[in-house]
Amino acid sequence: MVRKFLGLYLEGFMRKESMGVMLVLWIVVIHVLVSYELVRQRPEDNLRNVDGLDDLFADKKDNGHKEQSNDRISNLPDAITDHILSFLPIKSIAQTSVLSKRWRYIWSSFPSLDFSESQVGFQIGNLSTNLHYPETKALEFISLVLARCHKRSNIQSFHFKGDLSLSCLYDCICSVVKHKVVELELDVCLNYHFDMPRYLFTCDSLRTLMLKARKPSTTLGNQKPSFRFLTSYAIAANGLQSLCTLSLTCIRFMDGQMIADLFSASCFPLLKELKLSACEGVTYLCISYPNLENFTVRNMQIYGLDVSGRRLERLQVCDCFHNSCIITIFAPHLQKNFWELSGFTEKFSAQNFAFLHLASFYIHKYTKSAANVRSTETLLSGLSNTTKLYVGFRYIEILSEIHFAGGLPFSFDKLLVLMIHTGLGKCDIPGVCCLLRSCPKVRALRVDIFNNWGTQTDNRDFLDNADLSEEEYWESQTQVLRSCLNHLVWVKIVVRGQMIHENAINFVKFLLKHGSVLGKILLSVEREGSVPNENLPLQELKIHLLKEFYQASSDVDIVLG
Amino acid sequence: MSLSPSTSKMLSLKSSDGKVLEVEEHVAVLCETIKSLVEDGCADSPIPLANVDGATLGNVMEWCKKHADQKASADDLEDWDAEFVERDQGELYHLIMAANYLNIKGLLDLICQKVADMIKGKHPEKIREIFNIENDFTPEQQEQIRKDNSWAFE
Repeated sequence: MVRKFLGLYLEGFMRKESMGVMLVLWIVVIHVLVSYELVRQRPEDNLRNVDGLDDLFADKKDNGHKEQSNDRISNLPDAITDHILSFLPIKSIAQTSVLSKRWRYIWSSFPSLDFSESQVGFQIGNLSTNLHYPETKALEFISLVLARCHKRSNIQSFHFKGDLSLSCLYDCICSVVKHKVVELELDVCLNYHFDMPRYLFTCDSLRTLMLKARKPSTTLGNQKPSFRFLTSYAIAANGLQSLCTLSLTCIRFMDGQMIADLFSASCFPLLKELKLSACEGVTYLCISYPNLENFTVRNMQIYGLDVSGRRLERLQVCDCFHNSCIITIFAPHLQKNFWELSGFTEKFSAQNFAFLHLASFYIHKYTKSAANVRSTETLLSGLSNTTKLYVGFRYIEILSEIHFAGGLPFSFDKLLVLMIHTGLGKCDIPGVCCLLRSCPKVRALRVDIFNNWGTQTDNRDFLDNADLSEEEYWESQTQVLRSCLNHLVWVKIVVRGQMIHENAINFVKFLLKHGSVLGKILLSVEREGSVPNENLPLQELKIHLLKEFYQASSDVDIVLG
Repeated sequence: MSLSPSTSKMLSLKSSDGKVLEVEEHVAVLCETIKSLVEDGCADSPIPLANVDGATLGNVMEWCKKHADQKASADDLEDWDAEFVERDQGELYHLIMAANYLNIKGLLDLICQKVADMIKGKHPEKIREIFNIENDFTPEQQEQIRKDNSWAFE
């Protein structure tokens, strides 16, 4: 084309035609040359705007051998650059914003912002030295980061751990809601109460919400700053319709009379997982979500717990309740149940869980009373279908009392794995007997022995009253434990301390003598800290001696772990 | 449907440049894209993979074969992967695009991690040099961005 116009121009020049025509031709020629130049350059200039896949083909066809010279990383689709950057700490990601305009855009639309302390390197509790001015300058930048987020981009997840002024916290929450956040975790050191903004409850995209308030290491007086969860706000906004996971730690619920509505399907219809820890402002906890699968409540002073969940699979209750607590549990599909450090209650009602796999019981202290014995029986009877059971040492002591009163009125017929935590001393050996007697088909047994704890209890040395040594006592129980001894295959005994002590040896001797199908006994000593085990030769000697004892089963493997 | 090695049949995969690769089914189904085709019963004729060239497809299937091997230990795989990603940027680029298109999470994570490692702890100037990124900011603009994100450059 250029040549054609040049030809025309030369022809015109040769024929000496009028200057007007020549001028027109000149303009045309220049115009064409300029546009040709533009066309020639454009593919390279625009390469960065071309979709990544097209670029891939262009390269394959044209310059397959010059791949090194291209800026490939900038041409990757946003989803992939985001994925690459997700492997980097947030500071490194923010630094890439100076690379080029493309990278400034990638940073401003980066969907997962993780400002937890490990990532950014700020410590919780820094601001405690200056109580009059709670703002720590270092973290105020977060609201600026959020303010510069690309308007049309959504924030998939926002995690924050550290100190933040209340105004900045408020701005952050409003910003992330605006950007349709899906996962929000705030773990904040608060100097004053912070009311959760009403705006948060309009966030329909939110699927995970985790809030945790921490106290600065020094606070004025008894002040205990917390997140204040205004129940009426949540209810007025119809709750959070997409929320699946809710975890609240050190939250104060306001307007407690509305709390029943908060913990029902109307507020969080899709909720699957709920964790409440050290929350205040609620005394009677009534939980009823149709989709709830996992519920944990810990460190709460509540007088009543009513859990109703058709799909509930895992229930964990730790450090809760007063003595007069009323507990009702309706959970036909419960699979795991942990009951740790919670007080006793007489008013416990739960139907027999049909699918229970793991039930765990552990408490620190109890007072001897007929009521506690009854409540233990009730609690255990509700779990009699479990296949795996863990029982803590205080319960073993209560079971000792039950044993002398005739044993448990039911048995764990489906139980295959039993784990107990005991001193295996005189006060709780009867409790272990009581449990083993009620587990007629148990195959595996794990005993965790704590040297000190077994002997600390007062005036409950049942065996002394009966005038029997431990060895004699075990022997006297042979008939009662017959079914259990005929099923037990695998035993693990873990001793905390320096030595495998006599209690454990006596128990192993008994198991060896009567366990007709016993296959393996594993003995191990778990020492605290890194104290070298000087008693190892002695322990090996003990194991060696154990092998000399009479064995009912033909093939028992005794191992020192 | 059984996908164990003993019963696995062969699948034909056709790359964008017309090369056909025969791959055992239990290896190929590490690609979620191919797996869904197999599950829908659309994997009889050579499966056309319009976005992956022959050389890249070969590399991808090499990775899949190693990772489909039940006998490979975790340590062994880690060492092997570390060697696998020692490639020039061109190859890494094609592998990323292919892993994304074929939906192989393990491979995509591996290559993205590799590229992230190339960025990690480096000054912006160095990153531009490594990846041949053209700085299209004016010095003033660049200074402003640094200022806006000063927390990240401390």
